Amino acid sequence: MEQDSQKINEIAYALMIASASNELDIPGEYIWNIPEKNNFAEIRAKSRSVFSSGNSIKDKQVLEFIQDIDAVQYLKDPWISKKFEEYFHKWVSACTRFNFKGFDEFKEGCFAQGSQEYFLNFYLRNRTKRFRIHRGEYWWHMEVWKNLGMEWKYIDDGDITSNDVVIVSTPFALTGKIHRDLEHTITLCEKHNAELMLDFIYLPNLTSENFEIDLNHECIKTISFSLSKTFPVQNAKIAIRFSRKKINDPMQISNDENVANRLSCGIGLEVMQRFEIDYMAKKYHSQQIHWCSVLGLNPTDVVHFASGAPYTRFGRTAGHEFFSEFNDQHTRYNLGPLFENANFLKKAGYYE
Amino acid sequence: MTRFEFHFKNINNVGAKVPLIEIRINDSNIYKGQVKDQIVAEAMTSGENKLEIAFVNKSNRDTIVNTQGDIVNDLNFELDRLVIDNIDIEHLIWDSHYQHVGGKIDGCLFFGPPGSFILEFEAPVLRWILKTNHEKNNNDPEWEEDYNYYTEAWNKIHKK
Repeated sequence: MEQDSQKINEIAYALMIASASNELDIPGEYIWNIPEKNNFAEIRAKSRSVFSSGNSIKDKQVLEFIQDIDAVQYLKDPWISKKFEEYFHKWVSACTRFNFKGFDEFKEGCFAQGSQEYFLNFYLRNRTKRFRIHRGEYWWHMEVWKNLGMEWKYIDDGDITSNDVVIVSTPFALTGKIHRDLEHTITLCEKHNAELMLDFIYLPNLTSENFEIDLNHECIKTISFSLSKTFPVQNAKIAIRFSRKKINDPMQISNDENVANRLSCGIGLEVMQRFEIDYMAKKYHSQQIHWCSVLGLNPTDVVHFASGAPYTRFGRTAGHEFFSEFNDQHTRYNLGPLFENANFLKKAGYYE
Repeated sequence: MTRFEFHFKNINNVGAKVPLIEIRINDSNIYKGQVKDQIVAEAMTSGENKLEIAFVNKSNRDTIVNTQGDIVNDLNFELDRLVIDNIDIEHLIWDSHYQHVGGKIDGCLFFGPPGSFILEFEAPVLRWILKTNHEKNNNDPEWEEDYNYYTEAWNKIHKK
């Protein structure tokens, strides 16, 4: 089916026109796609990034639940980070979609203030190593490495060596599918004794029923999850890292000191207790199929993503990248704004 | 209907005499009266249009000079901004001229001598602004495509 870029663009404009006049079902939460003024220039500029982020679906039911959480009570609970860490493991294990071999060995949970905290700790711990990454990985890594003068290289630009450490998002950030070279990458890491971090940030939104991965490989030292792509809590920065053995890096030391962000731990725990890990995948899979069919996009294995050709030169042309020269995720469409604003889109005649 | 917002500044009276203007769109009067900081008027527009602001009550006696020949008082004012259908036309205001008895001055927003400020523009004004800016600067090749997306979406939302 041919991509309908005309409709994709029109919907992007419609959402931003509605945002500027406060007519969206669920308003945006980031300044880069909220027009500050109701004029063409602002609406045009913000329309370019309507589909560009990786952020979670702002599901109305979840949003309402979060609004009612009394997070402040957790400031008085010294055990909340421990409860969060223990519950997280159980919450992941309870999902029948995932078949993790060896997950039980990853019993050392460490609360992180978002994925960026567990990444930063990975960088710090491996600061003498070279960082390796697949093209299309989360651009933030490369942006940080470049600005801090850290050594890094794309995996397809040279063999993995014993001086390397590797990060792979699974499902992969660009494609919303398991990276086609994941198995090979694991094999190379194993062979060269290169540490591998698997980031499962998008895994909760996986639509496929049987996700299998063997975590028993020695090179896989840490795995990580974040709630920010699953539930609309991205600005609460709620994440976790699991390892077989305790890793005494700054993040762990802070948690041991009992100074973790208790507000985030409390919010995270309540959300997990109320919603299953695959809540979004179950609820929105049919919507993903619907919108992909209407717009001529390809559904990915992550429920809020589709893939297709870029609908604007912004994001893909030199000098017009979103946030970073390393951001080449312009072929990935975040369908969340379509799911969230179904009533508005129906009223405007875009929901067929 | 197209909505016009005229913003004037530095409005100078001479004694009790205030500057008076007539605003015309395609030779039809849409305002007649005193110059104020802001004047709002509406008119029908389509395709190519001519906006004229005529300074109608200036005479030689409204320029007061001292014995050295310096002007000490003068009936005059300036056009500051022009907003059409809620869009400030910004620098395109300078694509105008001031027609007076002595001739024509390009890009003049100062109403000194008796005469008329004349601006030719196209409706819809947003389309004209985008097109003209691209013609001048050659830096917005997607203006028409984006304008069409915007108007299509706007019309759909507002059921036009």
